[in-house]
Parts: sequence; C-alpha cells; structure tokens
Amino acid sequence: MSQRPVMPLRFLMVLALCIGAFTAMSSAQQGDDPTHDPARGKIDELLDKWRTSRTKIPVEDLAQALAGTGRGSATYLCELVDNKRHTIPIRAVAMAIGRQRQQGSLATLTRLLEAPEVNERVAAVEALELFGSRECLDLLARTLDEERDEVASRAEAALLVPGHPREILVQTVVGRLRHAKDKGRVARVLGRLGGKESRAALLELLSEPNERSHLAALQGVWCFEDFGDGSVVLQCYRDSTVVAVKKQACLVLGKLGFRSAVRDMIDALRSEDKGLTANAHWALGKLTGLKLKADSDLWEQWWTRTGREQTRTSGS
Amino acid sequence: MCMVVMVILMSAVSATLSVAVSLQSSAKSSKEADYAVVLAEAAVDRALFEMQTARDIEADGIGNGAGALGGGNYTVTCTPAWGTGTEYTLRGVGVVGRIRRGVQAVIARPASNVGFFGITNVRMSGGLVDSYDSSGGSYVSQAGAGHAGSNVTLGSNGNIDLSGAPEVWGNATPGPGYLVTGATAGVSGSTAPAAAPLSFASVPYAPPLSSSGAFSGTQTFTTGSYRYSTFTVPGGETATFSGTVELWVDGNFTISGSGSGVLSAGAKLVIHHGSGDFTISGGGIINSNQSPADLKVESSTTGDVTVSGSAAFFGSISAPSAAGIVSGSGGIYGAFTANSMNLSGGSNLHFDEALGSGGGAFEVRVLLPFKP
Repeated sequence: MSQRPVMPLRFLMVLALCIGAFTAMSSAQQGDDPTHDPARGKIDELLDKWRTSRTKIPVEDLAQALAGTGRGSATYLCELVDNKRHTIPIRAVAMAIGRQRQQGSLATLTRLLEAPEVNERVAAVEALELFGSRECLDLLARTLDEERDEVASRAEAALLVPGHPREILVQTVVGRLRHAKDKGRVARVLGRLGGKESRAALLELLSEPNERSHLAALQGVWCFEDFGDGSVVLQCYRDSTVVAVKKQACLVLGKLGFRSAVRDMIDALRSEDKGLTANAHWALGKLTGLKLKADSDLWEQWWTRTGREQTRTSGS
Repeated sequence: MCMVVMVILMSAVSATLSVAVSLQSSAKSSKEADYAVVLAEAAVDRALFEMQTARDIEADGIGNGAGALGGGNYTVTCTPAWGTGTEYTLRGVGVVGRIRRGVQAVIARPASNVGFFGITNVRMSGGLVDSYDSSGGSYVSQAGAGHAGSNVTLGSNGNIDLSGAPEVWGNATPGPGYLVTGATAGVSGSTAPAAAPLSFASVPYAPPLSSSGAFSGTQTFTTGSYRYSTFTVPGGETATFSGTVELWVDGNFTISGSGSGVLSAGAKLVIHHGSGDFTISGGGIINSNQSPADLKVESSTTGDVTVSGSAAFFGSISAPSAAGIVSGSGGIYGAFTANSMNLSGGSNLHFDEALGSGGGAFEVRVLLPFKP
C-alpha cells in the first residue's frame, strides 16, 4: 500500500493562501492610493475635455457631471479649488461642490469667499446657495456686506431663492442687521422675506436715531409686500430734516397707500427741493389716483373742495 | 276665398324670405365692417412698426403704406411727414367690399431727457451725471460749481444701485415697482419709479454690402460705406473718418492702447456693430467738432459695449442688447442705452440735450375710430 501525498497538498494550500493574502493586500493599497481613485480619474477626464473642447461646455452641464463622479470626489474637487484654482473652470467646480453638500467642503468654500478675484467670490456664493445649510445661510448673510456689488447682489439673490428654511433664514438675516455695513441691502432682504419678525426688525431700524438707518429701513419697507399701517413712516417723514429720507418716505407712503399722508404731501409740493417736490407729487398720484400736475395751488383747490372730506372718510 | 288665402300665404312667405335675406345681408355687412376695422388697425400697426424700426418698407415715406389682405384693402397715412415733428397722426382705412372703416392714432415721440439707460439695471459707483446743450456751446462753458445742467434722467426698467458718492444732477428713475438703492442722497431730482417701462426697438444689423475681411491698422475713410468682419485699431495706429461715413463691423470692434480714431471736422460717422464686443479705450475716438450728433454707434450685440480710458467720447450709443460698461476718467458726452449699465471708476456722463429723443420711446396718446 502506498502513502497519501499529504505534504504536497498542504504545501499547495499554504501557497494558495499566501497568494490570496498578497492579492488582497495589493488591492487595499491601490484603494488607498489617490491616483487610482476612479472618481479622480473621471474628474480629470472631464476637466481635460473642458480644456480641449472647441465648443464651450455649458457651466451647468459640467457642474452636474463633476458632481456625479461618485464618492470621494468632493475631497479632490476641494483640493483643486484650494491649490489649482487658476487652471480649472472655477464656477463649475464650485457648483459641483455645492451640489454634493459634503460638510467637509465648507472650509474650502469659506476660503473661496475671500479669494482676490471677483468671479471666484461669485462662484463661492453660487456654491453656498446650492449647499443651503444653516452655516451657508450665515456666510451668505455676511456677504451682503461685500465691497463689490456683483458679489453682494449675488448673495442677496441667493438668500431669496425659495427652498431655504424660512424661519432660520429670517433669524440669520435679522441677526446680521445690527453688524451690517450696508444696512440697506440687509433691510431689503428682510422686506422681501416679509413676516412678523422682519417687520419688527425694520420698525426697530426706523426708530434708530440716524439717517442711514432710516434710509435703510425705508428701503426694506418698500420691498415689503404687505407692511400695513404707514403711520410710523409718516412720523419718520415729519421728524426727519434730511431731504433724502423725506424723499424716500414719500415713495413708501405712496406705495403703502397711506392716505393720512396726503396733507403732508401737498405741503411738500411747496418745497424748494425739486427732488422732494417730484417724489411728493408721485406719492399724491398714488394716494389719490388723480393725475394733476405738480402744482401746489391745484392740489390745494382739490383738497379744499373734496380731498379733505374724502381723506377723512376713507381713512388710510 | 281660396285665392285670398293663397295671396295671404304668399305674402307671408315673401315677407319671411325678405326678412331672412335682409338679416343675412345685415350679418354679412356686419362681418365686413368688423373686418374693415381690423384692416384699419393693422394698417396703423404697420405704420407704427415702420416708425419704431425707422424703416420705410415700401419707399413711400415712413408711416405711409397701402396693400391688400384677405379680401380687403388698407391704406395708412402719417401727418406730418415723419421726422418733422414730435407728434404724428396715423390714419388707417380698411375697405371690404363697399364698407370703409377708419382708425386714427396719435403717436408722440416727445423730446426725452433720458440720457443714460440700462434696461434691466444700472449700477453706478461714484462719478457724476448731468446735462448740457452742445448747440449752446461747449460743456466747459456751461458748467459751474462742478456740474452743468440737470435736465437728464439716469433710468432703468429695473433697480438703480448707487454706491460711493455719485452725483446725479437730474432724475434717477427706476422701473415701475423698483427702487433707487444705496447712496441716494446725491440725486438732485426725482427718485420716483416710472409709470411704465420704456420699450426699445432692437437694433437690426443688415449690412447692404459685402465684407472686406478683417481690418487692423491705419487708414483714412472718406465718404462712403465700409464693411469689415472685425475692426481693430491697435497701439500706434489711427483710423481717420472724413466726410459722411457708414461703417459696418460684423464682429469685434476695438480701439486700444495708443491707437485712436479721429472724426475730422465736419465729418459724420455711423458705426453699425453686429456681434462680439465693442471696445473704445486707449486713445478713444477724437470727435473734432465735439458734436455728439456727429457720431452714432448702433450695436445689436449681446456682448459687451465698453467705453473706458482717459479719452472723452462725444457721441451716442444705442446697444439695447449689450452689457454697457463705462469706466475711466474720459467720460461720455452724449447718450448711452444698453441692456445693463455698469458705471464705475468715477465715470462722468454728460447728456447732450441737443440730441432730444435720447430715450427713443413712443407713446400712443390717442386711438379712435373715424369715418373715412
């Protein structure tokens, strides 16, 4: 009887195990190696296509394609923005980061918001709009104070896009009002957002003892869809000695349809300031529906004959 | 008895038939009358189209016309003749069969002080806006205390954003429901919004001659029409225009660096620009007479129309689809309309009141039927 070949079989089994282990270790190492990350490869491919393409690839399409390159792409996209900003289509890459909404990307977008180039800061704003988290809303609210109007107005538009959680948005913007350099822009955003909290913030701004706050508040009230009673605005008009504030108040009173202001507007037609006269005349047209010339005597006649009575009975 | 009954019956039938025929005839007349009114209105619309595009379709005078349409005829007349007044009466007559109907419209193109207009929005950072009248002398002769007149409107159909410390000696008029925002204290006149948006006819680009390819360098252009695919006056070169010149440029128009254009004394230049960017910088275009009416730019581009640098621009620019950009210390003497207007670097804009209808907007004041 011959012996079974145990040794060779065991040897083969051990060898097979070693080969299997070695293969598994190699794959794991390749997975860690960023140059072999499939997402990076796809991103590089898309960017090469963008560089070499004769016809311009639309930004939105490129952003969508970059955002869809899979897990792990956010890290690489952020690396590109941080280190190779001038060689990439910054707008599309930033939008892709915004779309992916990876928490770790916020630091990159915050840095991009402070980039020296205006178009890069605008790209950051667009990305934050897409991201839409509470931190993003806060960053956008701060950007209302941006020196460059293109960036600030883009941030204004980004905050007003529907879909943000309204209560948080209003709280964030109201919180910004106290520290803002450009209170007018913040006030206009509050006006467009509307609601009780916004109204209260604008009334508080109107009560501050400085003309810049009054101008800002009046712009916010102008943007308000249904501000309601204009008595506070009329009081601001009467109390202010600054022509710019009075002019703005005339427009707001006209828009609000606050008929109790008619007498004051007729008096303003006698002002030496042509701008104030013009704005008061505009307001009178809105308040009364009449198309009389900007002639104080004509309006006085109307007031004496019918206006006083009409205003009394209709209220405001 | 039977005869009587038959006569009565026949009379009744005859009467019924008469009524039916009469009703039918009346209905037909009514339809024809309605259609005649439609034709008369269509005639007035056509005349208005000619006025808005400044095109004389049938070479019978802008605002006049005649034709046939769908079984009827129409005519329209314009009095006074186009270009001789600020208010015109258009009388359109529609004829269908023997029915004539008339529609009369009074169209006004009042002298407008809308000097600088950004259709969607205006952004102004620092700088100054005022007016003067080139027919009364130079700007300098009319300026005192830092500005000249205040018969000007800086306008938009959207918002007007002011920053820095701009001075607007005139009105800043945003669109209906819109605002003048930011540094409004520097506006001397009204900041009230307009009652209605202004409409601007698009600028057509239809060159009547074939292209001579790209131009770049120095040349004198005498009276006549010229067309190029692009037009470039780079540093050290000069394009001189003498006589009455019409220049058609399909693509980019660029004066830059130390390059310049020169409009000789007595010359008139109209630049028709099709697409791409229109840039006047560097040495600019020197308008020897300093008469804005002698230099017109009409651009149909959706790109940028830029006036920058230290050379003053005396002329009018109509670019209702373009992004208008003004910067630098040279300033504009004349008028400028663009789709959006970005005025930065302390740009000074001086509207020339002698240009009159800077806004180019028509008003239909009256629309009435009349008996032709």
